[in-house]
Amino acid sequence: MKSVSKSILTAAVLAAGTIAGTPRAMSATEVARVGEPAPDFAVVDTKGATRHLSDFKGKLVVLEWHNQGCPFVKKHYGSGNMQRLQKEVTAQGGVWLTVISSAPGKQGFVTPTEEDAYLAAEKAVPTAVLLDSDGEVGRLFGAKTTPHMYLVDAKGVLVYAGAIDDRPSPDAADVEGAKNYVLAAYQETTAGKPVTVAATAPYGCSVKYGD
Amino acid sequence: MPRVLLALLGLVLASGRALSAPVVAPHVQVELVAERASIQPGHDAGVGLRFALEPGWHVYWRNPGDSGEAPSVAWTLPPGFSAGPIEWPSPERIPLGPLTNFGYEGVALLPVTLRVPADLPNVATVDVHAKATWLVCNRDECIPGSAPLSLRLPVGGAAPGPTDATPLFEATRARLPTAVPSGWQLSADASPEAITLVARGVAGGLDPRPLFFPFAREAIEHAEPQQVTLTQDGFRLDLTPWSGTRSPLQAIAGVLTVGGHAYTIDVAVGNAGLALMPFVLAFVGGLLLNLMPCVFPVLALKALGLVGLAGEAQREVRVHGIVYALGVLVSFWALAGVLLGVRAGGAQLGWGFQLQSPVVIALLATLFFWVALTLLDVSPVGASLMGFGNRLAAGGGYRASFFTGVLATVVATPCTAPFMGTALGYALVQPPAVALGVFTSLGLGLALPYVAITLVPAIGARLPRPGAWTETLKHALAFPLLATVVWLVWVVSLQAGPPGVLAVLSAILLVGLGMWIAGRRTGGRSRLVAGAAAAGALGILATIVPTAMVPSAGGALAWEPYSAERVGEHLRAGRPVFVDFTAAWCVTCQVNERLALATPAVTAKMKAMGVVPMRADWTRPDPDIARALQRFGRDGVPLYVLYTGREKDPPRILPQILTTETVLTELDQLEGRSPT
Repeated sequence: MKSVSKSILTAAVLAAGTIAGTPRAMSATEVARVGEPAPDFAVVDTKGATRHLSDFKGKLVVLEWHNQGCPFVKKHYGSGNMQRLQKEVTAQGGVWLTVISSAPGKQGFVTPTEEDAYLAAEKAVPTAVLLDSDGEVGRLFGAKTTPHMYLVDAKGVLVYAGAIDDRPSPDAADVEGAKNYVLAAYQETTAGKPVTVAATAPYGCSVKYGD
Repeated sequence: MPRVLLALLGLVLASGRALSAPVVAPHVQVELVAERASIQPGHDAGVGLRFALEPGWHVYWRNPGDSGEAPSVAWTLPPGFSAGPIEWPSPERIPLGPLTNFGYEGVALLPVTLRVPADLPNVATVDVHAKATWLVCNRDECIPGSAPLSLRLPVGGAAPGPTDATPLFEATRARLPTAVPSGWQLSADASPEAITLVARGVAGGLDPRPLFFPFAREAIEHAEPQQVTLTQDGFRLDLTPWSGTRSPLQAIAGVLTVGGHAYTIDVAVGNAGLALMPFVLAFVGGLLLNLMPCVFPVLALKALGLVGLAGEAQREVRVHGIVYALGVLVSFWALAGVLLGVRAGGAQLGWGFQLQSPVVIALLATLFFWVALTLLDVSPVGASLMGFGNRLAAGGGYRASFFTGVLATVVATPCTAPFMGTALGYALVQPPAVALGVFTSLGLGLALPYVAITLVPAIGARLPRPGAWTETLKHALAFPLLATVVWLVWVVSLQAGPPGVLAVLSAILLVGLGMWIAGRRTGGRSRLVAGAAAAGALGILATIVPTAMVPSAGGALAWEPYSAERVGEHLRAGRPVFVDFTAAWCVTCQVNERLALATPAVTAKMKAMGVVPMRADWTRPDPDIARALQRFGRDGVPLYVLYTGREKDPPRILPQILTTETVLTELDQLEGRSPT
């Protein structure tokens, strides 16, 4: 009897919590915002190591939302644009984290072996590839598209969020002559300057979150 | 083989259909189509890109939403021809988990207007070519596509016949956005947290409900629900700003769909009239505060003290005026800072929050009593702080002027003028800079009369010369203050019950005793006694612990306590509901309740009509009531809302100052409109 009343109480408290916690679970205002500290996370990479954003304090970190089946991602890997950017960042001591938030069974979902094969074939050089199949990191950052790019400065503050460049198309011919927002933000941050274009609307395929 | 093609061509031409070659791409068939069977030299012709999509697949609108890409087309046209831009029909919202796209499913047509030259050479047909590029997606994948398309257009005379695509053109043209009807008034407001679009003067149906599609991808969060509130003559649409930036939008540009029609809108944010109004209201509210029974005695005496000062003191008087204004402003900024700070912490607070604490009310009662005793010349303690007497002429005393400003603000807070409710309600949901601006306007309004007297000697000269009668006036003015004390003690009795009343009256007694003793002595001793009395009074007031609420007096009607759920239940049952948002510390509310709501006429009418009286008592903090107030765009009481008893009808909001006639008229209207 006592346990029954206790469980009723628990249910009531839970229900009250649900009502109090507004239905805006994935609200835009609760996700990472430029100018504010980037949310920390713990997620396993393709090598089985658990990675935290806080592991890289003191370094610039680029986050790239990825789905190898997405035409917009193919545009930047097929043209070698993404790999060039990865080399540039890592050569300067920066960290490049590729994040895959595709849910199991959805486009872009990969096993660690498949991803390693892909990296080798594409000659991609990220610092690590994070397997976020439950979409937790993606939702934390409010990642909408592949690619969706973020830059976190040495203090852990989000300094850029948005598109990779100013040509929102899946056409590889558009890489040439595009203004690369990530590179510009990276160079400005390295030089100790504020980022001129700190937020843009991302473009690409929708991130294939689970239901 | 060529013979087969020719036969086919002949068949197509014979059927009066413009020739085109549909391209079969993954999950979509793309085709160029013509609106009419032939084109006429010198007349625009309608052509279009037709997408026939597999179920579950979509192509995109000009702003694709959270992901995707809009289709595009590049034309290769015969000499003299030109093509206009794609005319985008209003899209659908396509939700993809946490994201939302704007686009088209099923069969979609993107019309383009083709300019046909007048001097068309004598030909039977004209071929137009286009390279179409698109992205077709379902919830799982996206496939880019691109294809050369062509269309053979017969040249003919006037009144060309229809094609197979004509019905599709007609259906699509009905969904092309047009200009907003002339009777509509659109206004918009934007902050980093919220975008509000208000449409007034809207005639016609609102079903399907209004939806907004922005042209820019960096305007709103596409996936967030768009909250529609119906108003008397239109609607209000609440949108969530794009999270990428904290700088508010300058203009709301895009397509608004209302009741099956699409309109192109471009509304500048914060139309001058809309944005300026709260500042003006706050300023006027501040001016009116000068006349409140709690403020007037303090300021009137101070102003009279200035009159008749020698000419050489004018400069000094001006400085005093400015220092006083600073005192007022600093106090308002401090209040605004506290309020904004607490709200940033997530608490549901409105203006008047400080009066929800019985300790603050009791402190104010004691303060008013002390000021009244000073006016009655019981003791000079504190008189200098209020700037009475002749200290001004003797020089110095700027600190006193500053504190007069602080005092004016403190004593003004219980007298929240009706004007201030609206202005401060607006202020509190704005960015901090705007909120501070509104509070500053309020402070400037409060400070203005006194500052004007000090800055413009001509005004001072018009005031009556001080004399023996000023002493009498000074004594008389103590009584409005004592009346305020009576009212405040009554509020304490509601908030903290008999123990609270005992505490506040004891504190008042102690202050009275201290002042009397101090008045009989002079010098440092008197200050010591007054200080001890004040400390004792504070000690007593600290014992006030908020106890159970005594429900406020109900009158003859059986007032139900407010709850949003109960309102809903009554409305579903078809019962009209009158909600009285009130608080014991709100003078206007008390006056309205006594003079309008509790009158036999109103009581009888409400009972006869079966109106459910509901009272939302905000004497003490209550997040549900605060939220309800915010829904009506208010941040304080009073607020009177009459629900008609039909769920579809928007609730009617009554004025903040009620008369029996106003309420009866509203009830009559309600009765007149109900189906009998």
